[in-house]
Parts: sequence; C-alpha cells; structure tokens
Amino acid sequence: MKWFRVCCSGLVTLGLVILLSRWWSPSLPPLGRLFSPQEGFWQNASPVSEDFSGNFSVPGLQDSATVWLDKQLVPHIFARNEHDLYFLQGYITARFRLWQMELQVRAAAGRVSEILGPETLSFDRLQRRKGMVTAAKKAVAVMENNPVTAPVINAYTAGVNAWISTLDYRKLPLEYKLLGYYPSPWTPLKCALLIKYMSDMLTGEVNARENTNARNILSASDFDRIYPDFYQQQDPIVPVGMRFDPPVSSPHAPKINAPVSGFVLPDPIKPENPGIRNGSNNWAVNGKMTRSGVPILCNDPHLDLNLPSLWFEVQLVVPGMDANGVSLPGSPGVIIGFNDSIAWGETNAERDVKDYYTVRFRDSSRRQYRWENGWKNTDLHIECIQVRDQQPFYDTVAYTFFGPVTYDASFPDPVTGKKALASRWTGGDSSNEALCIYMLNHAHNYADYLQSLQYFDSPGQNFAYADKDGNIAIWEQGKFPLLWKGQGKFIMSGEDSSNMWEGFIPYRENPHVFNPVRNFVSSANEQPTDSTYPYYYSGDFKPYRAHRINQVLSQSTHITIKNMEELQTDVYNTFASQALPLMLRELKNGASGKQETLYLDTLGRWNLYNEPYFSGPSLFQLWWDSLYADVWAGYYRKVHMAVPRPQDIVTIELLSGDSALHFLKDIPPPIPTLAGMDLDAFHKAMKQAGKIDLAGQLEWGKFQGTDIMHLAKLPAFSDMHLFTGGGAGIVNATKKTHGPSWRMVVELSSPIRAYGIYPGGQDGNPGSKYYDNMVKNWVMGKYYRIHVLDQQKPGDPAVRYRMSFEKK
Amino acid sequence: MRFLVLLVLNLFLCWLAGLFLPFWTVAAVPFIIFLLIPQRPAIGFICAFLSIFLLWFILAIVMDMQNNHILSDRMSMLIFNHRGHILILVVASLTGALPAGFAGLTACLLRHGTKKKTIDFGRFYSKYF
Repeated sequence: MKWFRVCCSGLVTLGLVILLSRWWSPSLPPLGRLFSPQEGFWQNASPVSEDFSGNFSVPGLQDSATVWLDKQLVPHIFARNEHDLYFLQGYITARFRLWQMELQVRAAAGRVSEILGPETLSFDRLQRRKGMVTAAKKAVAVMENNPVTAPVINAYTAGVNAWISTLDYRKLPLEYKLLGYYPSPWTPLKCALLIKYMSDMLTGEVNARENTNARNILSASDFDRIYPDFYQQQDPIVPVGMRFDPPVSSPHAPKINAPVSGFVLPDPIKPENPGIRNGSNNWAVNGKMTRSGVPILCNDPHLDLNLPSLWFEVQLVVPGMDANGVSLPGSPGVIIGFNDSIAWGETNAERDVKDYYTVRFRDSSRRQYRWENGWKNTDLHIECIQVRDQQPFYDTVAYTFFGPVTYDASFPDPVTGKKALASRWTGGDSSNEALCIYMLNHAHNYADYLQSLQYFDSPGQNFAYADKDGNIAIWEQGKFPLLWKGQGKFIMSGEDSSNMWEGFIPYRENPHVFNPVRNFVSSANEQPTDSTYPYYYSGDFKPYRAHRINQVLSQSTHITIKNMEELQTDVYNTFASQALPLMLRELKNGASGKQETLYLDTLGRWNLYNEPYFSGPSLFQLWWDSLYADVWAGYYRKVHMAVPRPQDIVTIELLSGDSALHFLKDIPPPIPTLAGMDLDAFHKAMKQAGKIDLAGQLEWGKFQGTDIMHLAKLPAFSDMHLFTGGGAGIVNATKKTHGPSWRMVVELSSPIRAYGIYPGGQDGNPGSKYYDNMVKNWVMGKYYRIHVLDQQKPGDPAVRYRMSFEKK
Repeated sequence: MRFLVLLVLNLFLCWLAGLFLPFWTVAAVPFIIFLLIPQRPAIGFICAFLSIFLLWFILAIVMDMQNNHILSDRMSMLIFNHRGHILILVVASLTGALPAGFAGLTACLLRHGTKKKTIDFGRFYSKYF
C-alpha cells in the first residue's frame, strides 16, 4: 500500500514537472519556466523607475565613451572615434530592440519557419525564391570591400554581439522565451539583409503579373484608360513646365512586342485587390516662406505600424559628425534626420524596378532554359529551410540570366498560373546603400548630399534636402532601368535578349529640383515628372496627398514649425472633395426614409475633413466603396482572376467625363447609368451604415481606427482600436494598420530646432513603460522635441540617465 | 514551530537553487529536504506547497508592483484573455507550488513507516527553537 501511494504521488510529481517543462505546441511555451519569477517572464517586467545610469566596461571598445538617455529613452551616443560610435549604436540598439532586429532579418532571409513551424513555409520559400539572401550576399561583399563601410558594419556587428554575449535565459527578451529560441550572433550579412528587407518592402511588389491578366481581357486602349501611366490631373515632384535635357539613350521596343498571353489557369482564381501600398510625405520650404527666415524640412514615412516600432531614435556624435533622427534597428547610421548643417528625409519613389520574364525549361530538372535558339544552363541553388518540429524542407531555386526563377511548377504563381517566371530586380544587384547613409550623416552641404546619393540604388527614394545655407532640394534617387515605352508593364518573354534592360538612367538625369521658384519642394508618392520627362517609367503613383501638400504650401507664408506639424496631421480628404459632389449630384434627391435623409444631410454638411469624431467620412467611404464595387463588378466578373485594382482617381476621372459609362461598353455593368448605380450604391451603403451606427461604430475613428500590432501578431502586446483620423489619400495617411511611422519637422536655425514622434516607444520590451509610451501623443498629433545634446553641457535638463562606457 | 522552520528552509533553499538552476528545483529541493527530514505526508505536502507558493508570489508581486502591472496585465491578456494582474500572479505561483507540494508528499510517503530507523532531524532542530 505504501509503495502504491509513493508511486502515485511520485508519478504526479514527475508528471507535473514534465508537463510544465515541455513544449506541447509551438504556441504554448513550458509554463514552469515561463512563470518562474527567477527566470521567466517576470524578469522582463522592467521597474518603471529603472535607473539606466551606470558605469559599464565592455570588451571591444577602443576608448571610453558616454551615452546619455533622455526622457523618451533616446540614446545620445558620444564617442571618441567612429569604431566606438557604431559599436555603441549596435550595442544600445540591441539592448532595446534585439528580438525585432533578428526577426526582421529572419523574415528577409526566409527563416521564419525555423521558429514558427510549417505555417510560414510558403512565406519562407517565396523569400528564398525572390533571391533575398543572394542579393544580401552581393551587397555585403561590396560593403566589406569598401574602406569606409567595412569598419562601420563590422563595428556595429561587434556591438550587437557584445550585447548578445551578456544575455542569459533570464535576461532574454520576452519573445524569445515565448517562442522558445535563442538569439544567434549578428553578422554583417544581417545588416545587408535588413536593407534588402526594406528594398523588398518598398519595391518588391509590382503589377506586371496582374497587368498581364488584365491585358489578356482588355484591348490595348481600354487597358490604357483603366490603368494609365499618367493621370489627367497631375502635380508631379518636378513642377510641370520645368525643362529636361534630351535623353542620353532611348531604347526602342523590339519588333514583336505583344504581351505574353495564353496563360492556362487550371483553377479559377479569385480576383484580388492588392493591399495598401506603402507611401510617405516629405517637403522642404525655404527661408522666404518661413517666419524664422530659415528652411524647414518635414518627413513622415508611411509604413506598416507595428510594435516594436520600425524606427529607433538616436543621436550619434563623434568628432566630425553630429547626426540626429531615426535609425532602422539592424542598420548603422541615421536614416531620416539631420546633422549640424543639413536635414534630409525620404519618401518611396514607387517606380517599377522589377520585371518578370517567362522561362522555358528544357525539362523538369530545370537545368537548362531556352535562350536565343539554344539552351543555356541555369544556376541551381538548393535552399534548406529549417522547420520547427519537422524535417527541413529543401527547395531548389533556378537562377537564369535575368535573376531567380521565383515561380515554377513546384511553386506556382497564384496570380497567373503555372508558368515559370524569373524576376529581374534592381534590389538584387550589388550596391552599397550603407555608404550613402554614412556620407549623408557626415554631409555639410549640397555637394556632399549629391555625392552621397550616387550610392543609393535600391529602394528608389525621393530625398528631400534643406541646409543651413538656405538651400532646398529634392532628388529622386535610385537605380532605374532604361526602358522602352511599356517595357516591364507586362510579363515579357525571357527566351532571348530582346526584352532585357539595356542599361540604367544616369543618376544625374534622375528627376530633381534645386531651389525652385515656388520656394518649396515636396513629394508624396506622386509621379515624379510630367510626360515630357525623356525616360519611360511606370509605377504605382498616388496623386492626392501631393495635391493637398502643394496646395497648402503654395498658399502659405510666414510658416512656423507649428504650421508644418498641422500640415503633417492634416486630414482634408482631397479625393472626397472630387468624388462627393459628383455622387451627390447624380443622386439628385434619391434618399428615401428618415435614416437615409439623415445620413444624406450629414454628408451634405460634412466639411470633408476626416476627423475621428465625424461620421461623414465613414458614410462617404461606405458609399464610395459601394459605388466602386458596382462600377467594376462587371469587369471583375469578366476577368475572373487577379488584376490590379483600378485606382480611385481613375475611376472618378472616368465617371466624371463619361456619365453614360461608355468606357465600360464591352463590360456591361449591372446598372447602365451612373445615376442608377449611384442610387443603388447609396441605398446599399446607407443600409450598412445603419447597422454600423446601431453598433456605435460610425464615427470615423471607430469605423476605421488604427491597430498597431505586435510583430508576432499577439493582440495582448498590441495597441488596438486607436481613435485616429486621416486615411488613404490624406496627408495624415493613418489607416487601419498602416500610416505615418515617424513624423519629423526640422527648422534649420542655429541651433537646429526639431520635433518628432513615432507610434511606439524606444524599448521593444512589452514589459517596459517605454514600449508604447509615444502612441497616445502620436494619435493626438503631438510631437516631442528632438534633443540635440552637447557633451560640453552635461547639466542639460533633457539628460535623464548617464551611462559611461570603458574598454575592458 | 517546526512547520515554520521547514517552510523557511524550503523557501530559502529553493530561492538559492533557483538562482543557478531552472524551474525543476521547486520539486527537487522539497523532495530532498523531506527525504532527510520526514514529516507526516499531509504536513509535507502543505509545507512544500506553501513555501514555494509564497516564494514565487512574493518575488513576482515585488517585480509586478515595481512594473506598475504593465507586463502582468499583458501576459494575463495573452494567456487568459483577461485584464488584471491577480489571476496571473496566483496561477503562476500555483505552477510552482503544485509540483513542490507533490514532491514533498512523495518524499514523506517514501519515508513513512521507516521513520524510527533514522535520525529525526526535525526533533534535532526543534531543540534549538
């Protein structure tokens, strides 16, 4: 009896210990270890009054250095030499953001399944098949061979690793404990992978495959009407009327230049609307327009909003440089910011720099492909993808003359079907963007800025510039292919050289503006030029924000920092100002019933501002979405596959010019007239609005609102249901999960005055009060002073914590 | 009195072991202690259970208070979909206390009936208190 009881009790004990020490599923970590206050998650509960000050001796430093933290935990790094500066940038960034840094490069390299299991396998395969690691390896070779960037990258890497080496299980960032893995050493390749991650995010998605689907249904002229290269109303970065030099080279289209057709679709594919693309605003006004008489530069990049935030604010000080602004965790230097002489900020160029080519393999081994009437050997890369709790997955990626074969029989393209497609992408070429950033951080004048830009190839960006001498400028910088008209808009045949890129537009021919007569420069992802620009390009351009920014700026005088903050958070809905009058006119007095009349009245009184507490924006959005769906319903029914979403601006331009809807003559819409469709859409939308109203969700800030999700998509670590204004096509481009990821206003006075904010916090630890402490003020459109600290003034009240570093 | 001493002894040794060793010390330490100092099975269970519950609860609540419950709130949302810090504090402490209690029980049961043949550490120490 005794032994029976001993056995029972012993088994229970053993069972409990095993139960609490084992992984039962990838989403359920061992609870014993997780809950233990001596090593588990409690260890990540940072005291709210934590004192970060102290003396630290870190192996790897060459000299002593100082880091001050301000109230927002922004590190101000003062080093005696550049090695120590970038070493400490790596060390401090890892101190606050290690898990995020690692996850981002893991995503870039297609190594997510290693930690998350088989669900993410197709994501990993796609990353490998895009050639991300191959591209990063090329980039790191260039960085390591450059006498400027090699020491920077290596010092940063050593700094990150110095921090990693101090970690034991209890000090690990919480996400490692929850997902059950350990950080691996940082490498220069990971710095390159981060640049490729951004490149892919900003230029990796192009419409060529969807365009090809559309072109197989539409005539050439209909295609051009629905998907025009240029919009009727345009307000490009280079003001209309500015002259361009004649082109250095104009490629000619080969004789036979029909889009590739004849795709066999084994299964009908659901039409898809590509998601919201990334965008951004930047502008600079010169001293003639400002109250202070000096230029002001503004930038707000719109990206996916996540926690931990994409950006990490820093001040980097070393003899010869004092750079301030935001960095990307994983990349040395300041990406958007200012130094003691100049300020700069970027928006995405939105230019198409990726083309798809069909590949005809000789056989299923993929060892050879058709090339100029013969067969050419492919370069086969075997990718081993580690999968958590499973055998590794091996994928073979064929590389052709153009680039990696992203889609083939073993990884069919969901958009076009089962043909093999190789991609040619400028992001896959070797380049050294880190050198551009390094030089930009050190730049003192316009010449330095120009010099640095030539090293920035991908992702193509509009670099706004302002300096203390009073100059302003903007350059669309990147490596852009020389194309014949229409080249790359559709999938091209990759069986010979006739469709390949002939070269690249010389950098000095890239669109740019220097000290223009209108006294300001701006960009907001609109087309960079009018149609007189001598080089062909296409892209995914957005017109409305630029219209509004240029309109406000051209009417402004005596501009202050406050005015610029107001413009960055401006919620005027330019698109609605164009669409709503038309929709109301066509509706005539079609409202029936009390509720519809009430809503119509609300819409009539709406001042076109997307304020969070208005219901006008929600009613307009519902109505427009419903009308849009009616207009294009016949088209989508006909194509029955993934095509690019016709832009709102195109839709409204077509509707305003053609109320009989002749442009849809081959594609009969369900209701033949605009007035009929408008009324139908109104009824449907208002019915929906009634339901939403009943649930109390009709205010714009609730109807759209914003969710800032944790990078591992854990709602408990996210900031959900934020009451935000703005929206797509609005200067304050805050959407559901996407928006101004950093807002910055810099006045180039002496000393420089700058303000900024991003929706997150400096510390990536969900257990820290600095995890999301700036979100509330970001929602309200407030800013923080960007402190430019001076080591000679240690008594500056902005200094909150003082860290002294000694070499060990 | 003896109960209290054993409680503090468990608590202290578990804390010490936890500085160097992982989670399973909450079972190992009470098991060894009650193997050496056998008690009535019920006492063994309750004493071990309480000591680890207290140890984990106190350690956690101190960190939690210094943290203004930021993390316990988030973890509670993550695991129980419930906002608040009390539930997770109690459940987390139980996670340590349960294996500890059963380990104590097992040790006492193992020694139950063989008590007379061994030195009674409990009585030995009780002279001093």
